[in-house]
Amino acid sequence: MASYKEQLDRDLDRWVASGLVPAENRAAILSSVPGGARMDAATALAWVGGVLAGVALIAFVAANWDALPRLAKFALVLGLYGGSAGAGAWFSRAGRPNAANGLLTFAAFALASAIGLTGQIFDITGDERTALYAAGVGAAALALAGRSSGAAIAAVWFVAAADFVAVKLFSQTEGLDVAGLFLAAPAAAALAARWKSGPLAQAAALGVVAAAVWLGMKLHAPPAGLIGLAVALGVLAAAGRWLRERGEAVGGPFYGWLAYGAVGFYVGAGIDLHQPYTIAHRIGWLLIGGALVALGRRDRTGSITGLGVLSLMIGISVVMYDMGLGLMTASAVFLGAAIVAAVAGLMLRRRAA
Amino acid sequence: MPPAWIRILAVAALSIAALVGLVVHEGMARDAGTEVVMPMQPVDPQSLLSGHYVVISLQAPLAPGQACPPGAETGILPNFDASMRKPRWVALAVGAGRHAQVAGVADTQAQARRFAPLTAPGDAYCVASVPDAQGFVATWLGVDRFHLEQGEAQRVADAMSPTSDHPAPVAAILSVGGDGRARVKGVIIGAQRIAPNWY
Repeated sequence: MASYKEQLDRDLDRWVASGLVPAENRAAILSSVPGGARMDAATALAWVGGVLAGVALIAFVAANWDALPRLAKFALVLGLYGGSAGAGAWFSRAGRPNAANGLLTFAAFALASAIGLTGQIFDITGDERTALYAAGVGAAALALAGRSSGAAIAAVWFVAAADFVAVKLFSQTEGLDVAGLFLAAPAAAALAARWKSGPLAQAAALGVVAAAVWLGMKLHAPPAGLIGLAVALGVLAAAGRWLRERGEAVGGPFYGWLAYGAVGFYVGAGIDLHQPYTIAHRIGWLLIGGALVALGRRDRTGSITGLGVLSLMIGISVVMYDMGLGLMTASAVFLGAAIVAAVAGLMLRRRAA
Repeated sequence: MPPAWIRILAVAALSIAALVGLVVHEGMARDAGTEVVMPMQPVDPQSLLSGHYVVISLQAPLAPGQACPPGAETGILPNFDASMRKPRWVALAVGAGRHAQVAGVADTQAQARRFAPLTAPGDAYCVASVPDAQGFVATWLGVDRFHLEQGEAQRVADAMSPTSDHPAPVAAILSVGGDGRARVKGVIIGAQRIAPNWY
């Protein structure tokens, strides 16, 4: 695919020929556009060689792992972490933030590995959950120190893994624990807004949804509780949409993922319902699907439109499956939803007019 | 505020120092703790993802006429599901050759010390002996594995296997520290002690 500069080069030829742009301005316009960083063959081969050398080193260490003394193993895992963090610091100092971000992300995972392998090398008894939280704290510290969105994403991931890895989650004998995501996800959202990082916003939004899932599982939430979580996620999705409309791009991922989460919880709430709540739930489901289609079209957001269409398709299938309700009842559900959708559409059109 | 590269190096140095400190602290606590030996039952000792290790599944038969330790969970079908373990204290009575057996189980350390002075956090489940079947005590002390080199792990597995040509009793060597935690020092196969240096 041609770069923007190459495309502009061709366009300028046409514009100069047609008199739209003075010929003497051509060079100045082209020079104002930075050329895309392109890797030459020698650099590409150097990178390939570096990667292969790394793979060879890993294979060599793995083959001789058993023969290494414990201290040598420990030095290796610490060296991998320290080396990657040090390289990240070097690139940060050299003013190459992308390379620094990548290396600090790698360092975050190297630290998690170091924590796990240290426990294995020295047979240190510990809680898997604590180890993952420690990895999360270490990754967060790297993220804050080096302004690394990748390390911050790793931190959210480690904290989420710690929250869900605990078998206590499903135990009736344990009291209410607090998920680390309740702290990590909002913190990641704040950093995403401050750093204007889309990938971190994605991770933070998924973290919020995961925190809601954790809470629903931990509390063995009844349908009313799941509806409450769906409403909470829906409100947060609306906040994300509001942020996006104010020009904050990081609001977009929150709008999308939290809307998906809200619909998921709403759907989940309908599994164990009994009459007459089932009918109300199914009507609400179809209305939500229709509303999401309309909202997605209005906002020109394909993911929301897709969610609405998907929700409608599954909702209709479930209503058909619910035929135990009787064909007449199913017909009434569809008719009721259709009337509400039609009235809402008319009201929106009148308001727009 | 210092520049980013200095902050990164500071975080890396602190993390490395924390890991080194953990290793030193655990090594000192393991060396300083009271050493006990407890019998184990055979369990598959290897995992492709977690390396080569011996599963520390502490289980000792009840001697004829011996009752279950006071406070131990009891029942016909022992449910020792990890998620159902209660945070309790196990009192260990240490006999000849540092061999330990469960003296009692209690909800607090102070209560457990009434059974024996050496205590560790954990739980125990007992199946009482009946005329046709010998009872046993299964104990959980927060230690679940001991990593070994592949060859040694395989040798332990062979010795513990019910179909082994040369079966041998296998026991765990534990260190119960002043902080009350149990740590693994090694294993004993028959008369051979496998307890590698910490370095």
